[in-house]
Amino acid sequence: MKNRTLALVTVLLLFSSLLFGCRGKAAVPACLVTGDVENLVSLADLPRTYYTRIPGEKGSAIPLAKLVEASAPLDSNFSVLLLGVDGLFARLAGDELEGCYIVNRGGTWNTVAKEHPVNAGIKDLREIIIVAEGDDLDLGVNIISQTENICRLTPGKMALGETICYPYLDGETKIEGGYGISLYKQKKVIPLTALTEEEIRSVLVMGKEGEYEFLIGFGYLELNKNEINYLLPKDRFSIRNIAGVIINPPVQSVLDTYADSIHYLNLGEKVMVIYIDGLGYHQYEHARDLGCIPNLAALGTAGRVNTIYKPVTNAGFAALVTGQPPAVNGICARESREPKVDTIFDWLEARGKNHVLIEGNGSVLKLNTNTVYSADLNNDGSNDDEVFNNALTELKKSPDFIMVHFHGVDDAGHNYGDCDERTMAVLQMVDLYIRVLVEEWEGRVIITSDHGMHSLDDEGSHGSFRYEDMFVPYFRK
Amino acid sequence: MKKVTSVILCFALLLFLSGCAGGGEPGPDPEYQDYALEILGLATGEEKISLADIYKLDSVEVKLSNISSSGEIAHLNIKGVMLDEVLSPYGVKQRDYNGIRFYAGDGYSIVVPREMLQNKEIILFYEAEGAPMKEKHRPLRVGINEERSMYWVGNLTGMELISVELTTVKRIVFLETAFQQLEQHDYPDYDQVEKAVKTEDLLEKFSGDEAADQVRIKSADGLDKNEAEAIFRLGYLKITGEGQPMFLSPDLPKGMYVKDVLFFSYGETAWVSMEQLFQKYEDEVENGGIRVKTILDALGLPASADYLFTSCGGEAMVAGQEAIIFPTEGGYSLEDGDKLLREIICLEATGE
Repeated sequence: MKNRTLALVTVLLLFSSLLFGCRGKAAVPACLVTGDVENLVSLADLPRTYYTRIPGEKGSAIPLAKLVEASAPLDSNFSVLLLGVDGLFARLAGDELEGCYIVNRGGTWNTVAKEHPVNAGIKDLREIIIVAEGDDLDLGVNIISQTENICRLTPGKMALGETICYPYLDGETKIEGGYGISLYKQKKVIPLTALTEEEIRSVLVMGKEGEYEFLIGFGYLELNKNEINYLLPKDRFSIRNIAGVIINPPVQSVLDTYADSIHYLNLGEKVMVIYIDGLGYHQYEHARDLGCIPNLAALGTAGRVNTIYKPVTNAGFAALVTGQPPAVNGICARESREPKVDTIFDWLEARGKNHVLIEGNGSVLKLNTNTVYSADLNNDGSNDDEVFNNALTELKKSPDFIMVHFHGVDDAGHNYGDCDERTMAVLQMVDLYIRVLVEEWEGRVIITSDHGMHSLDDEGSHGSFRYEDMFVPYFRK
Repeated sequence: MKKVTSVILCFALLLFLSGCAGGGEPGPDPEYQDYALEILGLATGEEKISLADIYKLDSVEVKLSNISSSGEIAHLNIKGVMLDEVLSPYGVKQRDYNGIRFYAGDGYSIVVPREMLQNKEIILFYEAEGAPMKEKHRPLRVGINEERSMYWVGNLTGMELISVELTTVKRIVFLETAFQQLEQHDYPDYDQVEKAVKTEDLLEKFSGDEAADQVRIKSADGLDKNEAEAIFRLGYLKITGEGQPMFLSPDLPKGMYVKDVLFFSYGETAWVSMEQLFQKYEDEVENGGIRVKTILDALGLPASADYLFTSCGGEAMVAGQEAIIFPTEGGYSLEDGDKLLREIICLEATGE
């Protein structure tokens, strides 16, 4: 009986030790797959299913190709940097990873590369960095001016490029009655001045979550695993995971649509906003030079204003009607529909003023206004003529505020390209509509767009931090 | 067999007890019944709040990330109270300060800088992962999401609120009077041409050699923001037209403009719009005048016994916070009993 009890207690103790004692992991060094990847992968956290046997060798290892696949490289054309603790690193082509394994031997991660020269066998790995090799401007961070895409940086490219180690003051601590210390962290950074020859007076930094910061002078781009941050070390100010930086931005932006409308409405004037979806400033200039838009040209030269990131319809539209960037109004991408802050329509409603939105055949945002939809009743492939007719009807009711949303230029830009003659023809028609609308309206007029457009082979696209997408025309009459 | 049953029952009881340790709504550990968190740096002086009172505040349960000195990230489910909740009885918020130094029982301390106070919510927590904290961290620990563990001060004994510029403000300049002493520029504003003075001129004339990184601007509608000095110096204060006094600049986006400026402060000097003050505090206007105390309250400044007022003509007068300021032709006058000083332009605390 005693033996049975002892056995039972032993079993229970074993069970308990399994239950409570195995929470901590065996000491496995940190090694991260990072760079131009969707997912950061920690080798120590990979489940056993990732391991396999190296042909002809003992023990198990992680196939490098499988590891890289788990990290989801952002570009199909990539290379792999195997970086050792001692700073030595090997660069492998992304499509030549066969026969490469990562093994944990003696408490360190090591490379076995049977198909590569012996130098590929980097010992004591610290990081595995994926470097996108393509020139897709949608990846990483773009530095642009008002008229040029200056350069693109990705975390992977940054790891390969010239950076400096900035001693960033992380904090100061002290012991009462004892000594104090300052703690620093070495940050891998590139000063913005190293990326452009343009004199930097101010910058507009935009984050991928819709952050929007106008700053005087220049800062640093900081490499942080698979993200790039914008850093002002002396001010301890940073914006995480940025999409891009505009060097010497204009002071006007699409956000002014809201402020300018309210200014005039406060003065008792009526306001019409003509919103031409998908019209970049370079398209406007091209059309003007071709003589396609005499009526817009007659209004004078449009201001070149920036839109917000991401330059897509939902986010741009929300910026127009809220006067706030996406991080504040909550509309960061195509999937978001309901602004978190009051719009111009809420402002008007609160003051008992009449307002109306003339839309295409569907709603883009959930807005507190009277929306008139414009289906393509004559089946000519465009809603713009119906939008125009509905707008004319509503103008006669003399609302305090009317917003007219033409979609045709955006549709044509997607189908044919930003400056294709067919896109210009659609813009030419919108220009005629604008002449009539402006003639019929007794009030202020603001004409602008939500985003631009760039060409991809035979079609067009937008949504990138590039000058073609980020700058649009702005008229105020 | 009985013994086997007893062992199983004991084990079950142990499991039950260990499982229950983190449940329910536990109050403070009796061991800490005498504990009180010390708060230094309040306008009212030193305050203490007991652990029992902290437990009575609205609690929050959140998952935070803590970064170790080696860069490892650990996630922690914690329960505690927001620092702003702790500070609310004293009428202040973490954002009001330039820094907060947290003290631990072993003498360790660290200053959480302004940038963090502005951008991160600070939680003083007493539970982690559904159970009381480790002994060395009890009874309270600081939690700041995605910040290094050196900021997560455990065994918290106190905190020192490090003042923003305002409590260091020693001089108040009356903005409308100051405008009269500066060059007024034409400023195109939509279809109008308004008048404006350069912010640079205001700083140069009234703050002398002072230097500060930030300018705090507060508007009558409650907007309260810090602007980089370099940006502020680029601007103007529009002194005519809608929304005046209004901070703006042709070199800045409209989103950075501030209308109906109530005051702004830079180093030891604050500039106050008396027009905005009279409108905002109209209930406190008596016989057309407003007490000096109202100005100090609006700026959140501690009271001083006496203030030295100076007029545009260079005359001076000492008066207390009950003295009255009222508008007169050409500016504002000060009345204290039977004493009167016309065209006042600034006041300074006498330090008593």
